[in-house]
Amino acid sequence: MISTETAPVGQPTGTAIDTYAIPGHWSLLWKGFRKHRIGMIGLIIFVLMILAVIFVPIISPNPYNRVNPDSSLWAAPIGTVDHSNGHVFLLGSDKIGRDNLTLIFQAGRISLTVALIPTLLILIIGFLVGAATGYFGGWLDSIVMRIADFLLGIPILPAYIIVIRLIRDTSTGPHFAEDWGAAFATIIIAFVLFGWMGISRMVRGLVLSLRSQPFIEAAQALGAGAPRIIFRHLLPNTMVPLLVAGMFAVGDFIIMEAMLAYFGLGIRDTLQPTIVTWGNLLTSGQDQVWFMTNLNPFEQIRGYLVLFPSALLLITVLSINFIGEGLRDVLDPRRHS
Amino acid sequence: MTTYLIRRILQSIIFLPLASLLIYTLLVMWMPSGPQSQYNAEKVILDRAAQDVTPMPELAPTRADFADLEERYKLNNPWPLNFFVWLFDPNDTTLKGYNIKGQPIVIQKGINISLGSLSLRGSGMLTGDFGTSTAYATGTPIATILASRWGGTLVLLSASFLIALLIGIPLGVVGAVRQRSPLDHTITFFSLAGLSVPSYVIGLLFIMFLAILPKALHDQNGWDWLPWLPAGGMGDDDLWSRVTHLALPATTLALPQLAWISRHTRFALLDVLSQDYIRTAWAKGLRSYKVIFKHALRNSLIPLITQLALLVPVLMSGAIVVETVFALQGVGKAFFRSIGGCLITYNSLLSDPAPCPLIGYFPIDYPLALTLLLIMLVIVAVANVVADMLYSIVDPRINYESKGRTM
Repeated sequence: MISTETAPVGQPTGTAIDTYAIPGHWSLLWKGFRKHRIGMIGLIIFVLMILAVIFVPIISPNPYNRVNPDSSLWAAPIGTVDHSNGHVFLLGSDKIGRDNLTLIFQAGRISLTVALIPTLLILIIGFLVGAATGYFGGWLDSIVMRIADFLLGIPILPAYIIVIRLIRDTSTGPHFAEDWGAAFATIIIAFVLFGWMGISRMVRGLVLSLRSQPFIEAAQALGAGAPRIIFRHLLPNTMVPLLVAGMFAVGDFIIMEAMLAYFGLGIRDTLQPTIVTWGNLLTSGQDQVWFMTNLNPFEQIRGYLVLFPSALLLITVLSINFIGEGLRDVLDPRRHS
Repeated sequence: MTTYLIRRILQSIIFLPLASLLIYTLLVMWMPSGPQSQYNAEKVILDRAAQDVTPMPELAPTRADFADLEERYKLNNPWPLNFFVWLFDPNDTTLKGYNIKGQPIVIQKGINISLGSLSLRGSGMLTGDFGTSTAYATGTPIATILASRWGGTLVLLSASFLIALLIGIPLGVVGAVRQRSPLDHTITFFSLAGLSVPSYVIGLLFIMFLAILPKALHDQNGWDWLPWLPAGGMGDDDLWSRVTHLALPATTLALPQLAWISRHTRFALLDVLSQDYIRTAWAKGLRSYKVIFKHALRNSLIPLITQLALLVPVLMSGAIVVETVFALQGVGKAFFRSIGGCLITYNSLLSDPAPCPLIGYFPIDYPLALTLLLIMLVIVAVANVVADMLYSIVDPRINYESKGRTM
């Protein structure tokens, strides 16, 4: 990887090698990835989804965050026109008259955030722990890895439930069920607490095999300290596997958030101000499924209150998995499909 | 290999008490609504009442409740001794009570096994003395709850395990043999899709399109030929009703595992198919089914078999969700309720997990939650040991470093 940052004082700057266009780590990866059809489809869909999640709630005219005063617009079918301002409910409205189109993309904002933040955190923690244990070894390694093994053995769903209950009941601050910030933070803490082990194990394995390679030994011989070796030499070499693991972690966390919302432990739809996620949209839309009596799922049944959020969730997680799959195939040509 | 195996089994043996200790500490001692804080609060009130500072007769807990808490969770012992005494207490073998006439009697509790001069007596969790439910089914012994509910869960788990195996492996084989064909891409797509949605969403979609919609069409449109599946519940006593009621939940639970198994089979088989001895088999002019099924598939299933034991805890977690969605009477839903689970919206079929209160949560049923969590941990530990044993028995050339996540 060619570094563009200025070298520290005393180091030779602008060596001859920088002037040649040697294909770096990332450009090689991109070259391989570009040819991977499923991976590219995933990437395009994911980028489109992020753009849509950012812009649709801005563009879409009907607000998502208040009870519609006109009760004739509650649970309105697709294409209903709001005669007071001429806006059209393109995807219908939910049972309190919020516009479905705005709602599902607004929900995506929170769902993606609540997945991306813990992913970033577990990547950082996982790398630091894995690099430290793999590089230093010894008692640090055995203690930390025993803890990681122990945490990996605990079934994840009960663990999340207990930790969230514990934080919620112990906190004396804003009430969990009333304050979305508290709910948000609690979920992230639970995700990070039980998420770092897999990544640190992977990093540790990579570091163990990298540690004995000549370039690390050369750096050691030149007198580089542990922080320099870890951040300048080990980090770039573990970046791509970290990226793959991070991709899959984002998908897992989106699914897990929806699962927790279903159990009433996530971010609830009843909060003020309204915070919607795909999970709590699905949860509050599900009773519409049970009360379906008419036949057309897009007319009277309002089955789409479940269908649209689940379709968006599926598309997002699927595209993320496609990207991860593509990256993994490029990294490990043996698995090439 | 033997030392590796012994080390892994020792690790599992250490894992079990440590994880149980963690659960006991978190739930009994740290939880603000838990027994320890209840005990502490009651102790303060009783002490003040004893000193006649503030009598507070209407608030004061009875001595019996207080003693019951102390006896139940052994809270008068210091940590972590209280956990071990809670598991097994050799000194506490009798229960004082009163008979119908009001005379004090002494009831034997726990176990009392004697072999010649050796005798083992005591009570506690390990002797099957789980206590009674406090919030979910107040007053019912937990052993009774477990006995009536394990059957449903076991049937559900084994049915979905079978579905996942019987469909997942053939799909993986087809994907590997017809690599890069449209069929392979379709299988890959759907197995990735199966791993990309929460299982309750799959359940809801099944209910929508296979249960409620066909039933509505049948009833209202007069489509008499259209069959539909029941949306939930356990069904009547006859076999057919049980099978139809099990179809949707078992499939829902099986789908992610099915996807996982088919992907693993595909990759493992592709790996083996590129080996030299397979090329030799082709070169010998063997028939393709012989090459694939006799030479390749057998070897490729080795890593899969060992991973299957690790699916057990995953299935157990899945059962919590699926039993709740489909209103099945099983251990998973009991766990969901015992930990204070509730459903955000009310609907008639799912009235058992009650609707969530707008603010706050349901009380935790501590004895039931603790029992179920301990059972879950035992199952996880056993599954891990079985996986390790299979691992080393089936394949001697093992990479001992990498092991997957157990949930």
